[in-house]
Amino acid sequence: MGKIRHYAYSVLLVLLISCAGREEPADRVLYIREMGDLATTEYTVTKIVKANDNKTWYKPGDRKILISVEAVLKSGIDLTSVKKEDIKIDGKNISLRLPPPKLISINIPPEKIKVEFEEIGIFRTGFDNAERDALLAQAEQQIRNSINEIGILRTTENNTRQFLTRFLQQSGFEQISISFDKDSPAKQNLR
Amino acid sequence: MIKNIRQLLVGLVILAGGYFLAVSFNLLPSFSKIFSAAPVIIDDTPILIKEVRQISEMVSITSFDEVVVSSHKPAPAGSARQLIELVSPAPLYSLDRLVLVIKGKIMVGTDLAQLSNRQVYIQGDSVSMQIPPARILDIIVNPSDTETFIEKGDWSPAEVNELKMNAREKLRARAIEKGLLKKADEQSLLVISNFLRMLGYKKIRVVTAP
Repeated sequence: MGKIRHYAYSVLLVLLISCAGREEPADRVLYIREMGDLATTEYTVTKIVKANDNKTWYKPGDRKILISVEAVLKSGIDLTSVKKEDIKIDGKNISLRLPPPKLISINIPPEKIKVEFEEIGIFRTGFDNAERDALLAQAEQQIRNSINEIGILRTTENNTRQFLTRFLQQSGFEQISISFDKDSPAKQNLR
Repeated sequence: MIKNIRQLLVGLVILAGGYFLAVSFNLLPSFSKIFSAAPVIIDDTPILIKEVRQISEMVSITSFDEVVVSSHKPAPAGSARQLIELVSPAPLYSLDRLVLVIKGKIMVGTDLAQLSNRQVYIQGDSVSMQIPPARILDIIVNPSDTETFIEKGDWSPAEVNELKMNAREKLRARAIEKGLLKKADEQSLLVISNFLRMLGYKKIRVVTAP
């Protein structure tokens, strides 16, 4: 009888352990960064994410998905990296050398993500959230890689020049010359 | 009989050794690779520019925060998990659950587009400027920074988006609670003051508009 009770307790313990859910992780702050980026350009771009899951040999049938996404890209310059030697003033004339324009952020708002079409083979299961996010992460990377093609950095140079020219004119300068460093924007640190 | 078994064993060992060597030299895929699912790669589709806008924002603080959001709903009628509920001592097991860990990026700063001529006063080497108060410029919760911690049951894209928007609100509340607006105000004042100093102004007064 004691042996049976012992086994029953063991089985109950195993059941309780196996049925217990995974503990949810807690919120935490990672870090805060002080900066001084002057954002002058905002691009809104759209993209269709197209994927076909038919490459795994032992999974019969395929799964296809089309997702439309809209992303907002902001770019500008790091105003804190402007040094005293980058500014030359001669009376009412000013010459300013600015750091190269950089991408400040890529934002893909959740409400701008829409599954437009999904076709699932009879032996397959639909795309779950983790899989959809993995596809969208690839799209995010493609958008990040395309910043030179869409010309956002060139537009940023023009917009920054316009903004600072207006500001410097208000400050009383008459002859304003603004140039940009030609360091590779690819070296920028964008998370 | 024993001889045959020995020959078979030797044959198997040689075969396994050959396969191991072939895998080591990348001539054949490993056993685990054969049965692992092929990654789904998206097509390289074009990116279309919808809108280009000129902005004037001073991003003075970026906070990287992590929040957990979760949702649950009853498992669909007749599903295996609903049947398990009848015998399971843990009632939560029968629920569809979704738990997301989201690393958000909160950008706080000053919208300089609101700065007008009336807020800048210059005389000789003195400048006085009143800038708008800092605000949350963006809360970014991108798919690449989202981890699906638990996903039980079917969750539609709309349900997931709603949960991600909840995460965004949680990030906003935490940013305000941590005093990021005040920190951003201080940082904007510092960056603008330093820039004005480099422009040659001696007496600088930059304040935040009330």
